[in-house]
Amino acid sequence: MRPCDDNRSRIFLYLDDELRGRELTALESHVRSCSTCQGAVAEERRFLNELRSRRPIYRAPMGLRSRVKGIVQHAPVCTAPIDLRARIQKIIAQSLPRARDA
Amino acid sequence: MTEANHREVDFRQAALACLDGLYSYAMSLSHNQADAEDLVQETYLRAVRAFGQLAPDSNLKSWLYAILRNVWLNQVRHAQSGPQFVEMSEEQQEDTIGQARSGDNPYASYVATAERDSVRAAVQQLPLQYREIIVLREFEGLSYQEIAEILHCPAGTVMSRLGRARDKLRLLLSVWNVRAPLEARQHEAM
Repeated sequence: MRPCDDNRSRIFLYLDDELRGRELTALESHVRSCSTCQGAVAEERRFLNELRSRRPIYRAPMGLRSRVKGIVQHAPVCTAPIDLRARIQKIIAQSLPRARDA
Repeated sequence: MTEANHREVDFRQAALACLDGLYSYAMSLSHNQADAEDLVQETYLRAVRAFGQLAPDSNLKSWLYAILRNVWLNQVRHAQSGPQFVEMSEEQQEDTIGQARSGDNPYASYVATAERDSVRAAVQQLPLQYREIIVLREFEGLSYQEIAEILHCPAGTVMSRLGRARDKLRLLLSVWNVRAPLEARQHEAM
């Protein structure tokens, strides 16, 4: 079932939750009154749901899973720059002269 | 526990949760299980080292996918020869999805596996540009903007490429959908 020419790409955007505001309202309003586009929305939704129901299409092999767990759980995570930024911000805040003392 | 420690714990949990998705994406890029595993492993190594540079409100998932893609691009640029498809070993096949546990309906499990295999095979037949966008959107649920940032292209390009990829995939699946139920019926008859 082919939707109205203007709406085919908007139907994809709608089903991908990428439409907002007036564009969303306009499409929803049109679909309510257009049986061709209603059919197109239903068909595309069925196809996408069918596809997405097959995920994940791969599962990481057990060996890889173990190695990655080892990396993530035991390797030191470098957070120093964030801590350092916070410390520097604190030093600056404490060092800045107050307005009334200026 | 300090704020930094909290961030670290959150990062470890969130990063591990992305493993299957990253592996799927790596398989879509490399077509080769050994290369895909190397890509994923290297991604996590870099992520752990670079985590400190990530702003607290950043999108960790998109960041990991972007790292993986960059690692892959660097490998492709330096590769002497192209990737070759390698059949999974028996041990690896046991790790795949859809293995029937005792007490499960073996026919239903077989059909589920066959259907997943047909989707996987159809996706792998897509050209690379379509394949990676289908994986990122349909199987990993990334938004157009997130995909655009990973692929370094405008969101409009993501939209048009995704439309063409879906059309192509629908065509490929229409071929597989004829074949898969036939094979399942043959299996049931055995």
